[in-house]
Amino acid sequence: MTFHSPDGTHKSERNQDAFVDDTTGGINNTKGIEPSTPAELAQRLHKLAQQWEKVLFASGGRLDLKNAFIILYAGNGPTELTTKIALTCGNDATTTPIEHKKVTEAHKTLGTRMCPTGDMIAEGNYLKNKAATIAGRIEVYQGWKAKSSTPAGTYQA
Amino acid sequence: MIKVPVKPPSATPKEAQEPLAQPPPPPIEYRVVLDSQEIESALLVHNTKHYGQAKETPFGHAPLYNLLGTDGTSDFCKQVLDGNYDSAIDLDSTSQELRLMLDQLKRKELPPISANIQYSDFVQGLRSWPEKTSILPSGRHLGHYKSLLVKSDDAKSTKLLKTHHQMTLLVVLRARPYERWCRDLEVMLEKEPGNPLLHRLRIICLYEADYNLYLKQMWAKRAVRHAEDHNCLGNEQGGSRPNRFAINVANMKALTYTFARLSKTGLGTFNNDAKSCFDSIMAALALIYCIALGMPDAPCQIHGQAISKMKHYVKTLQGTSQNYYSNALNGPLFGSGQGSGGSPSLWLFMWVALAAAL
Repeated sequence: MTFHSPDGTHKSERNQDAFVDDTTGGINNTKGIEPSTPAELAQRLHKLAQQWEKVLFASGGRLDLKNAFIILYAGNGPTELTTKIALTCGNDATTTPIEHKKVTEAHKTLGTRMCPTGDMIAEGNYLKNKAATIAGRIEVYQGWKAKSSTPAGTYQA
Repeated sequence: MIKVPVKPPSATPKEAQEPLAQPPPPPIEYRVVLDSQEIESALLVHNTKHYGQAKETPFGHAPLYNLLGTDGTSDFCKQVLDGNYDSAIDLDSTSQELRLMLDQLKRKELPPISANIQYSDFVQGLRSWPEKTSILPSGRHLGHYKSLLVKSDDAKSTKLLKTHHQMTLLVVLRARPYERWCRDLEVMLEKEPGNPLLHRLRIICLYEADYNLYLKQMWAKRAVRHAEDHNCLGNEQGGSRPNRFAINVANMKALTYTFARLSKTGLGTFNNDAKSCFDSIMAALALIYCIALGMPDAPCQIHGQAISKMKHYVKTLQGTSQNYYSNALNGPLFGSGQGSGGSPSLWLFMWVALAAAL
């Protein structure tokens, strides 16, 4: 992925972002002189993904292709692309189709539920449920505490 | 209690994973195992298979496995460090990616890292280690070491601590690990709490305290900091590095998506996980990279030999297993184990080398 400043004087480049074994490889076209077609984007992404798989395999590792997925964003074209990619794994020549997630679909990564469109609904819902679970437990505990701290025989019918 | 499959799952044809192509395979049946002997043998077989996953990879079998050796100091490793390994391997039968990866392991012009652990480092390492940490297959609890720190001004305590420190230095001098260090206890943790499926158990290895302390000092502290100081780790990997957190990487990803959206430019991402990364690391390959960064041979020999000679025992509620599996008996086995102070750094170095090969 290459990122240019608007006047083109600054450039930042990297292939992947990773935290231990959770890796996100990416390709883009930010220069915008000749925008890549969706098919070209998919082809470049396929090449990068397959090369990562092969390099990892050469070092003794293996990708968990069952849980891998791709996200393709066309930029100024139609937002949703249906292009599919399939990868080989190790010495096996048969290909495994890689799940294609929608750009509007949130995915769990690095402790968050991230959505490429930037909405935080999934993360918000997750945190709301988590807070409700904790609140429920506190409620039960408070009820138990109130009951156990009330001296016996002081209730009035 | 564990649950083992009644019949091992048959390999599903890859095409069958297409959701609409074929109906999903029938669910696997499990049976509950309660007998301690049976649990022990099932775990030993499972763990042997788990640590042998890298067998199919190029360095997992002959001839490359034999060339590579165990500790990154073989003749082939020296050739890789010098960048002239071409004559040692059959170029026709090795992939281009493998050669690209080996090219990244070339020696860098960096000052050497000291292999000796200072007494102050040893004491500081013990002091900062939480006492509740489960360690020590030999039965020595971390509390035994910690108790010597309580009265650090006491002459007897200091003498004992210095003896422990001297024992560690002796290992560096001999460049060979103690037999005591080549034994680990494997504790199995449920990935899904309350559902002890055999294939959904995480293996956590418990090592001797002084061995793990040495690994932490040499790899997690010295090697990683040395690499950071000389800008050898890049900006892509955020794991196992000082002052970097998962949220920083998540922010980078969010910014990447935002940038594409605002600038209306195309973006494609491939999100993936490496399968049991710490348990299939080719330690020798990672150790070559450590030497390339300036690590002396002795710590690599200690680490590599300890991994290679390790006798793996399984620990359950019924106690420690009588039997064990090892590289010599059931090998080849790979991986440096989750729980080792050196594993995160080995994976970090290996990842950096792989990313540079892209």
